[in-house]
Amino acid sequence: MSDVIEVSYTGDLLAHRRCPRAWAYEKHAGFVPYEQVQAMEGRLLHHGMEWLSRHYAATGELSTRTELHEQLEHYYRVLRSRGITTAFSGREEVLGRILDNVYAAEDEIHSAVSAVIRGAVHTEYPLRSVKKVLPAKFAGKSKIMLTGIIDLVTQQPDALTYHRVWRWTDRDALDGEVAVEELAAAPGDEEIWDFKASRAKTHYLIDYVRQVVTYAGLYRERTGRLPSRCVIYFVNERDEAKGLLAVSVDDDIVDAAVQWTVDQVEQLRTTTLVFEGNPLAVEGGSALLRHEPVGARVDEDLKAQCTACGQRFDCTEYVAHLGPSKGGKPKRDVDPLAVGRN
Amino acid sequence: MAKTTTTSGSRVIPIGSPRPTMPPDDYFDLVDEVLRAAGRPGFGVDQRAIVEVRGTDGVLQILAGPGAGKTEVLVWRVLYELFVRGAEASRVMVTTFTRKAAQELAVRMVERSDALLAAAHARGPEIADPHVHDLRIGTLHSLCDQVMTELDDEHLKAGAQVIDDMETRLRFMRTMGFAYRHNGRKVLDETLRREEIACLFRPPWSDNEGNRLQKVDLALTLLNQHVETWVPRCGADRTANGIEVVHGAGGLTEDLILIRERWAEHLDQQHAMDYALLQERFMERQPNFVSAFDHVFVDEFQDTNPIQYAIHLGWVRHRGVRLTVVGDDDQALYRWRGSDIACFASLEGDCQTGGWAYRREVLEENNRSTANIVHFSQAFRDGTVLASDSLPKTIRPPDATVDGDPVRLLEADWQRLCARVAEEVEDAGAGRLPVPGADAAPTVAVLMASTSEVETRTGTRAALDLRRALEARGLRVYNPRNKSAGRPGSPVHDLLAIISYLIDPVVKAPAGKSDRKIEVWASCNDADKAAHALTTPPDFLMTTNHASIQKKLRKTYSNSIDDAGPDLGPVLDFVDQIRENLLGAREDDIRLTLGGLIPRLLAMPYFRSSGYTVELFRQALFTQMLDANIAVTRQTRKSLERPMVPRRGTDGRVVWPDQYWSLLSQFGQIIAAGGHDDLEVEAFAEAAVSVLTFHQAKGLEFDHVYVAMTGKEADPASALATALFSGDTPDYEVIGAHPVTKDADILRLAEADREREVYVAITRAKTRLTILHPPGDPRWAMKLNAGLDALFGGKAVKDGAVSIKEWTA
Repeated sequence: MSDVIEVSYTGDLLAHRRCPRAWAYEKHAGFVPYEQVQAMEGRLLHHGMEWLSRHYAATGELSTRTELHEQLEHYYRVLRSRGITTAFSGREEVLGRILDNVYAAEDEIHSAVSAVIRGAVHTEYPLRSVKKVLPAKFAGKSKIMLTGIIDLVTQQPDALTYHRVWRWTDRDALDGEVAVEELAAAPGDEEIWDFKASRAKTHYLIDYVRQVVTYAGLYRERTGRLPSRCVIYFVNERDEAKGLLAVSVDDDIVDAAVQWTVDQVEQLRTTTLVFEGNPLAVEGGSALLRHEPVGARVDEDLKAQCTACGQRFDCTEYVAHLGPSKGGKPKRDVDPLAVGRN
Repeated sequence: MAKTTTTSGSRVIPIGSPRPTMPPDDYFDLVDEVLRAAGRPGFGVDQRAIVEVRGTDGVLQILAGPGAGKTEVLVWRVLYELFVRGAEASRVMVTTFTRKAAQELAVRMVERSDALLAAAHARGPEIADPHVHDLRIGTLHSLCDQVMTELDDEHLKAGAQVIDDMETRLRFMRTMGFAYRHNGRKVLDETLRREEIACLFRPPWSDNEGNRLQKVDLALTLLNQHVETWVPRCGADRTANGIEVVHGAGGLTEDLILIRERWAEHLDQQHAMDYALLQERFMERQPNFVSAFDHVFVDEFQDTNPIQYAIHLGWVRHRGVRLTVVGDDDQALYRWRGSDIACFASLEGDCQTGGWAYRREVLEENNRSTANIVHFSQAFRDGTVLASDSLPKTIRPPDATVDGDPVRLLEADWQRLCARVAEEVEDAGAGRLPVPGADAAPTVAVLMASTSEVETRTGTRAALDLRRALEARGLRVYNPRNKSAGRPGSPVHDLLAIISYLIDPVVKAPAGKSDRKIEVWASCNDADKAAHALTTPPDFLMTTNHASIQKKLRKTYSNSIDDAGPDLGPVLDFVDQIRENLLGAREDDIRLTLGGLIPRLLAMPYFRSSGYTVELFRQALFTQMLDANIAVTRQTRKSLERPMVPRRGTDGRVVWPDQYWSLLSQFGQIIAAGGHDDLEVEAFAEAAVSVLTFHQAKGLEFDHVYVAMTGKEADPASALATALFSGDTPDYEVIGAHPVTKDADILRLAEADREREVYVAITRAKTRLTILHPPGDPRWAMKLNAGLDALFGGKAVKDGAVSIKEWTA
């Protein structure tokens, strides 16, 4: 028996926060989702940023919109061949959205993207962190191997100014809010960036902040120093000012975020043990809404996932959330006989 | 100056400053301190010599016997490179044989590094964190993909994804009909029909030509051997494949090249890479990124195949990257999958030829087993061909090792032996989940040449008998390689049967003589009978395994397709209703896909009531298999990912698009062929008796080990294949579909391969080793290995029906 809990931040911790039930079936038991609609834009985006950075490193020039379009078109086909799709959009719509978020015009890259590309120290840098031995409180497990993807950016002479910053309202509880304030980065500042394909207004913003601050802790573990700040970049925000969120970090808040992450791993293990006892006992719904009654634990972010979830037909939470139709039958989304839904 | 912070386990190093290193003596003092704190002895002079990375080191070959602590030595040599020589961690690569081994090594690496840092800080010297997380640790396949994605622009740009074995098989099956024709010749078919080729790759228990899926497996095994052996050894000057020379098979070499190129073209078009292509591309492009590395470590080097060997030597050849390889030629097990022990043995000579510095060190002290087990293993080795075939090595226990129990040979009929094993396991307190506060029970494994649990018409398999005996006492059994995940009654079998029922339901109709009612279905390849089916037959001939699978399921309850019983009945009713709803809906309104149907079925009590059992994971396995079937159609006009749109024909029968028939044909063959293993689920392994093959046992250890099925015949096929694809020309003929040779070298290699499997099995035991032998049992491999037999002289003692012999040093 392995003594290690291997955890991917996005694939496990955040997925588990969104819905423990879907996580248990898909990630723990290995059920292949019949539609993978979430991943397409995020993957295209990361691939595009990686390609742009590599192109810049090799040529010293930023690529044009046409060049990136060609590369993304190819990668779109690759993703499609792997069963990764978009929810309702066609190829050109998706690519256009990403390209619009990267380029203001054919040869003009948005300043934030430019900052990332020119300041990329490592992109898609594999961050493998094996924590020190933790107290054996995870049902026989004593070690965690946490995997995440980090983008490290060094600010250039034309350093960015951020218009949204994260304000901690309760440092102990790791709670906070977005504040409209200006924060000017300085040339040479080292920042950890995380790209999100979702909109900036999301219930899971708090999770994203804790995630990126945890990455800062892992960065500190490896380098002996903290980054100047963390930045979350919501690339689907047309207004670049709204798309960038600067998160200041210090040792205490980083320690708290790392501990929060460890707590999430423990909750994940708890879900695993419940699932091993009885798979049906793991309830669906967001971790952020656990305190709500059954039927009220699905928010708008999660609903997009639930509607294509293979486990929805007997999911107590989602069925209750939708409620019965007028005739007393289940709503079409959870009606197993409805062929107008997939 | 940037802000810096001190954290536990690391000291502040200003940006851009060189990382200070540690004197070797200080390093070894700290290593000994860490080892003693972990309950291990410190390193002696010999081990220090292995750990030390000398400036003159080019290639270091570590010959490490079983239980000799090679992982510990490997870890400290890697850390020596970081702490003492100051190498950047990202410029150091460590390849392992399995993903699990990589994870364990990564954890050990971090733990030892952290402990060493803590010990160093306690003494006060300024030591930098070597960023041990940046080490590249993984299987060679994963590292090839990772390194090329990071360092090779072409690979990143292509974005090709590595595909697993199932998808590889399915993709190849789809190309067989069209991709390998050349100048009017069906090159692949001609090649596979050559008995002198097929006999080398056909399983030793198989005498027939096999179905289409078995042809796929034959073709892929053949191509893998071509890529992994012929390409690195003969590809540069296009030396003829030895089969061509020995059997006068003119043009065979060029045919294999053509088949391989066509297959690679297909994969490129599909943005896919199988493991062989991945290695081939890596070898081709290695010069482009060799400068990114300083030191490459290879674990389990004895199971290296020629293309991997070429990659490992490539590091040294192209730029003088240091290479450290660890292994034991007595434990080489994978010739049948293309590895060649000659790689291990020829390293020194190749280094001399290349002018590269070479050093060999030997680890001979076994810290794992009792003295009796260590001496028994050495006696076995000395009494077999391994004594002369392997590099010189004498495994010995440390001085203070206890003698332990004698090694035993138990003889009785197999059922009694199984009962005896179960009784002993129960007496030892093993095989049950631990009671809080109780002493830890010993770990127990039964190691066998085959752990298949498939029932045959002629009887049961040995592993199934064993499972039943253990479970009869309420003991937990863990045997993921049981080859029966798709057997009747499994969700894998049932779900395909239900898809078959959706598309081509078997019905009773007056299609027999005198209008007798018989079972008919559309794809039965008999037009008269198919005319009575509810579905319009496909336009092409197809296999009908799916219908057999469907009938098997539907007859489970009442032995008739008319009454599926109270559990399955509602499932079939549901499928009938889905079919009707699809037929009744406007085409544009349908969204339901085949993949989307499966979760609806799985939400029904028939499947959901499985609980957390192996059945749950077989449901998951089915979704993985179905996804592989869908994947190969995604980029075609007949994609199975699109909504299902069956139509009602003018004759009132249901018409399904071709892709659904192709699916039934191919998926049906896959399930009917059997041999599907369960997913490996850690929760099921906990406190269970592990029933493992000799190959699975590699790298593992258990308190009590039982070894059975040691008596298989030496099979020359793999050794011949290695030689022939290396351009050598050992003579052989095909008799009864099997290769027969008098070549002394080949026979010796085949015999050594067999003895190595037994050697690996017996060296897994820590405190108790028992050999099981059912005299007179006619089943495959149930005889007693001659080398083991020779060690158990003297008179047997009877204990009930079981005869017992003991061996002590």
